[in-house]
Amino acid sequence: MTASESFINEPMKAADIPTATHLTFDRLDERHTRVLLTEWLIVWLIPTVAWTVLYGFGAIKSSLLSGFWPHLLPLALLVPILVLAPLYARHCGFAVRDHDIHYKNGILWRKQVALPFNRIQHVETEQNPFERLHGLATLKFFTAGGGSADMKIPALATHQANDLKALVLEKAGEAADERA
Amino acid sequence: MNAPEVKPADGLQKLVGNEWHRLAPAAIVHFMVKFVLGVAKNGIQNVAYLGGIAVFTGDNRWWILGLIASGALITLIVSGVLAYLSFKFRMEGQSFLIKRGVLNKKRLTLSFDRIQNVAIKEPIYFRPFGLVALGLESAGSSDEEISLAGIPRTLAEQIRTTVLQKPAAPAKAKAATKEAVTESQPSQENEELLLAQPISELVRYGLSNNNIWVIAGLATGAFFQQAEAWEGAVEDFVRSTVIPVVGDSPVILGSLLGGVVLFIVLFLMTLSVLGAIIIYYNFRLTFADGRYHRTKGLFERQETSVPESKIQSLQINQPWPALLLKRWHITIKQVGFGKTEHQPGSQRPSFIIPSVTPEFFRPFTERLLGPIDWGTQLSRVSKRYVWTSFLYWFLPPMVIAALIIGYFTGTKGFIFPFVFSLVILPTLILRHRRFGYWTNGKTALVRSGLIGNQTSAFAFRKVQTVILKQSPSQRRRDLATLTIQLAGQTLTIPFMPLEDAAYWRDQILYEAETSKLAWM
Repeated sequence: MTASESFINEPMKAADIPTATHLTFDRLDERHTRVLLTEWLIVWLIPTVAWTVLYGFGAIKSSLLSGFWPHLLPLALLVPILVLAPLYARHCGFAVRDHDIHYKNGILWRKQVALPFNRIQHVETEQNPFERLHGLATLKFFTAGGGSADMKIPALATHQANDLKALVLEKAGEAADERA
Repeated sequence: MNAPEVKPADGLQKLVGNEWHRLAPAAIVHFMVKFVLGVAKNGIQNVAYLGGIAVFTGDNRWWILGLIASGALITLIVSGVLAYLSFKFRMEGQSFLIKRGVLNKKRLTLSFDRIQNVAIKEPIYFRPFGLVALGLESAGSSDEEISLAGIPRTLAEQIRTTVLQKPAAPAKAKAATKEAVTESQPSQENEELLLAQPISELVRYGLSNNNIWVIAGLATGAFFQQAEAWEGAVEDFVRSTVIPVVGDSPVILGSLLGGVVLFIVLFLMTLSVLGAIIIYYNFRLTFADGRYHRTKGLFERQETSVPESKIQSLQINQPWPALLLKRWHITIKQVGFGKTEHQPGSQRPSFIIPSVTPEFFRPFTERLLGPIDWGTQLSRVSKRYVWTSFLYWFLPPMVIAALIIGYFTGTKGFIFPFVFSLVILPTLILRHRRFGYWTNGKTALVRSGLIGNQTSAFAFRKVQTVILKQSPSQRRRDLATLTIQLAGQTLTIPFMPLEDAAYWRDQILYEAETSKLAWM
């Protein structure tokens, strides 16, 4: 077999293939920042309380630490939390096309997942306590590819999550019908 | 144990009905063997109790051990008989119904379209009775797997044909079942033989598959971890037995040690070759009715069938020992086989075609996936792979290690990272060289490896998800890491030009979304 025989490259069709490079992504719900802040602050709070108590009772001693100012040390970590949460939320987004759904996240390390509707096995809606507090939900999409969810879209308003789920399932159903 | 009660000729029709059926009584042996194997696999530590009894009970230990042994034997026979009595099966429309379990009664319904694999095994203890064990594996969890151990071979073959046949329409379920029986006969005749492996190839497989070296490596590791335990004994042995005979010349002792190591390696290789012959004896790969059939095995003949459409990808492996022998080993990846790697216990045997040459695997891959240009060089990934991996993942821990070691041992500790990078860098360079990718827009090849290599061949239309990732440095240089999830495995191409990565993603989505063919 020669190279020219096996090389199939239909230029007309290839040019028609839509690219997912310049998609316009929908932002997640604006309450996403608040959920992130709540979650991250709780993670921050646990060692902070431990630090304050231990230092307050004199359990932590070092020649570098003296007086009241070490109590303020955990506050330094608050700055990146307060800056990063809104920034991270701004970098998350999803896009729905006719035949697939895309999700992107990451401030520096950016990730973009693409999932064709006709590969979706099932969809799950999930609400952790913080999301429930803010009336948000996470949509999880499963394919036959991995063990855990292949795509997770967090921080969707509950009604938006339900609408999107219905839309995706409808599209997935259409895709299945087409094939059959 | 007498002949099977279900007559082979009208076997299948009999199954389709409201009556429950039993396996042949020889199945009792099978349940007993399974029970013993289960205990052996999961409860090796129980043997320690027996050892404890043997050591601590004094004079009447043999009596106690004998009592335990006969108790165990009786339990074994009784549980075998009970398992046999409680195992019942029948077919209804397009599904298989099973009742099993002595204490925990279980009912299981497995519909034909969920069945992924049908395996026929012929254990040595079934051979005199002409019986086989039929395994029906589903794409789902291992709980859903059915093993009919102890049915006549003809019945097993009929069930296989019926189960794997795509029903024309659900309404015609019963008709389809009956047709299948009559159709199964001619199909045997136009069976196409694709590959038959002589012993010589199996020997090559035994020598060149990686397993033996992995085991040898683990054994060496375990050996040295316990060094304190055996060091003294070995030293005593060498002093008292070896040195008086051969003298204490370092040359002789050194070559003796080399001889021992060589002997161990040769011994392991012999084991591996014997294992390969036992498992793959008389390996035959055939194709009929849209399915690939594989038969193999010396003591236990195994027949496995995979429908062509359920194959997700082919992995063409060449581990380093196989480089020397110029052979490749093919693994056929199916739904769910990828994720079992992370869940020990639910592992299923993979579909391996051992020891083949490009003359076999090239046409075979093209037969499954369409034309592939084997002549062109695969595209390489960016050299940044080496540097970024080194700078991001290896340098920071090395610097920290150097600082800590240096703090305690002085300047000597700082040499450590340089020595370490001498090992890491060539490894990364080798890995970089092995990465390669090719596509014609429909079919793709992705290669990776260290010394040996594995090439995955798959159709874009079978892909499940595509993930494109970019680190800050990759963004500056227009590079991306592409992760492709298939139903059988996950492939990653690091540091490919962004243009290629985007083309692959778009083309994969296009193929997956426009293909009218079933992906599984």
